[in-house]
Amino acid sequence: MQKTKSGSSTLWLLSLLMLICVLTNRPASAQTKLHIHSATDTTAIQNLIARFEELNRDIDVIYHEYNTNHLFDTLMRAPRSPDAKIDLVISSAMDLQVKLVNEGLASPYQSDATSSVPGWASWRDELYGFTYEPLVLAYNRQAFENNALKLPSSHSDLADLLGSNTETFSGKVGTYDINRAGSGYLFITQDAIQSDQVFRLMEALSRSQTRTYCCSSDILDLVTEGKLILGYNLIGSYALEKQKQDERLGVSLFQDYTIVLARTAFIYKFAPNQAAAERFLEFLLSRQGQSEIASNSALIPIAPELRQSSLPENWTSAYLPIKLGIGLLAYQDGMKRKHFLDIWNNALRLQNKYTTP
Amino acid sequence: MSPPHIQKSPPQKSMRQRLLLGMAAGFLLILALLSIGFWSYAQQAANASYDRLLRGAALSILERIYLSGDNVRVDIPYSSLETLGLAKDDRIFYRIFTQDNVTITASHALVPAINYQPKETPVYWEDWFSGEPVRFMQQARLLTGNRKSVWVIVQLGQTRIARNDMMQDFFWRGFIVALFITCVGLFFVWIGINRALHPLIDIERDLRKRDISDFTPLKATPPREVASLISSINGFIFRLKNNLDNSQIFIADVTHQIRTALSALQGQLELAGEELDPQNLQDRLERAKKQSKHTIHLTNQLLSHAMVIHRADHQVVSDLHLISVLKGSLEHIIRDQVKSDIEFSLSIDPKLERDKGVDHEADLITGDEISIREAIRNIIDNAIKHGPKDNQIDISLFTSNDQIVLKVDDAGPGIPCAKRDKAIERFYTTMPEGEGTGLGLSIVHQVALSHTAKLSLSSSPNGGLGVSLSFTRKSGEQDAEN
Repeated sequence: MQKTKSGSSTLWLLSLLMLICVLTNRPASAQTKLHIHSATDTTAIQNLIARFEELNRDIDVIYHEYNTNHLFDTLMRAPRSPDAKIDLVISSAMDLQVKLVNEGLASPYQSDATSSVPGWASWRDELYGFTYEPLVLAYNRQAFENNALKLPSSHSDLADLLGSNTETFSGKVGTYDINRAGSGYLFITQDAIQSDQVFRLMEALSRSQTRTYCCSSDILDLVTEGKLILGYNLIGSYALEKQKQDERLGVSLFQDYTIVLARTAFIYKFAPNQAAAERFLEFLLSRQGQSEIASNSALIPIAPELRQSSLPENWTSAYLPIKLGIGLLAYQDGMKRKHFLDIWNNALRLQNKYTTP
Repeated sequence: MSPPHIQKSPPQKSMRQRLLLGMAAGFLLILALLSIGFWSYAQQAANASYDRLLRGAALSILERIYLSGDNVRVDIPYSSLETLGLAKDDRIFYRIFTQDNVTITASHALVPAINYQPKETPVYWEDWFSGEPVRFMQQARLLTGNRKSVWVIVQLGQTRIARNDMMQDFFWRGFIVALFITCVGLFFVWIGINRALHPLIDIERDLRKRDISDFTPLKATPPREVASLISSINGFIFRLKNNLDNSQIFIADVTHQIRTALSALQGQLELAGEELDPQNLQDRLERAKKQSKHTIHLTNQLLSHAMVIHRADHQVVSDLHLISVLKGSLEHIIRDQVKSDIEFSLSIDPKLERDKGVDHEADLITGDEISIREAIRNIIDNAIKHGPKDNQIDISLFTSNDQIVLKVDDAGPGIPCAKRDKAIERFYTTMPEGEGTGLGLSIVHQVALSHTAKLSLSSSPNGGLGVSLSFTRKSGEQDAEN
């Protein structure tokens, strides 16, 4: 009897050990690889991905970062098969995303989480916006104080400001190079749709010899350092994040209208790992993911009750979200795009530097 | 009373079920036709609605096409695509090109309509593009410049998601209404059928509840369609009542007859018992014997009458040759009369004899041999009984068209014309009390009835009564040919 007893207790101990082994040691080969192709700063999204991996231990996220135009080109040229190793596509260039979906490159996904996405930020049950990012004006506080400048409250104020302070702003205004940055092109074309002030503004930007950059981080750095005084049409989430780190940077919104973009994601139609992509999309749109975006990333969640706390109070009520849909294809027409870029480049004396996506 | 005869009837069909099934089939056919109509209507309506979007977008694009030097330029208006975006989930494809198929700007390399002649009215067609069914439209505008004119064509394509949604919405709305109407219609049909069948149910209930002695007519006030049914049933009830009344009278008559006969016999025997004079006693006994004989005869005749009626009720029939039946009967009768002075003669139509030899068909009738023998016996018995001792009885058989007639003539007193109808009735006799039973001719009449034969009484050439029975021949038509 005793022998049996000791024998059985040994067995029990062994099985407990084995259970612990199973729980902690997952073989690397069992990991599912999720390929996310994205035009979002890795720093802004890495916490979110880490949290997702923590919740989904069987999934290993491989994050490919692009700028928006490059991402679009990659998708258009990618093989229409799982060999492309594309599962999920994320970009802030909503028009390019719509164009990809209109090509039939997305696969539909529906759940409770997707149905809570606002109507303007979803299209065809395929493309979903998961952030709410107003476009802002970034400025150097010191330069504004030194020159006793008043912050412009509308787009025409900005044109006036630049027009009446040509000396001060000469070579000191930065914005996207819309030839290269797809999101920059989207923002300025949205200005063109929303306001008849855009050409007056373009003229003012031209007179101040506005400089163009590929990425918002470059402009934010230069404005912070004082090498630039103003950064126009920058993504609010990045600017606010930078402002938290550095007091020298000021962030302002227009009161006439403030364009809001939603970073959008869709599942690639030929995703090798559709299920994992669905889980990531579900996570992005879920309450948990949205809270994670609010608390642990530079981005601002789209869920109305969560985004309020991420946006500074007393900003503006003139938020004008960009509506996802076929309309966004208008400025993606080859001839219209070329025409618009010609005007822009002539105004900013940057000839033939555009690239056609 | 015999128990009700239960017959194995074929599986019953419900009238209600048949009516309902018929109506349901009709309604379903109408529903199917309506559905086809709804479907094509929905398709047309959905296409018409969304074709307007395509046309609106094409028009606003065409407005923004202009000549810049020799180049055609297009500025696709944001609003044109927003218009197409009203079909929320649909993808779009476009291509703007000149009459020489040179692309000005395009989202996709679309294939234009076949054999297209540029014109300002739109052309629509369906095709498959980018893995989906797509509705295409194409519309042109003539651009007139200083040096040249050129047709510019806008081709737009839109996937069918919104169209199909709208089409299904239209279709189902229409279908559900039609289905509802069908159900309501069938419900009313059901009510209507029940109402229409109600008189029949009333009749059934009336008959089921009815006491067997109740012969009043059905009280239902029938609709036209079953009025004749009800009057038939009422007629049947009336005849049944008559029949039953007759039976009751018959039983009462029979009871009376037998009781009277037995009382008379009893009386004779009692008188005989009190008689002391041997001569008178002999006389009394003779009378009692006569009375007893009469009673036996009466009983036999009653049984014979009952048997004839019973056999008629049960339709015991077969094909029989009247000649052989007649000869067989006569053999028996004449054998009993060998000692009497009565003279019998039998004459058979030579045509019948000849025919008989040829085909055995001419004297063929359908009937019950036993009943017919009974009839013949009664006719001849009557003749013997009523006639004088040297009676002359002529029996003849002849044809008349499709009839075969058996005639018996005697030299008795005969029956006056006025009393002949009455002579056929039961218990009516021209003989003195206690002699005739009054059943003879009644039995003959009964046999005639059950054979649809005609019994007629006449005056015989021998001075007495002539009784003729004419049966319908089985081969009446053949005779006509001959």
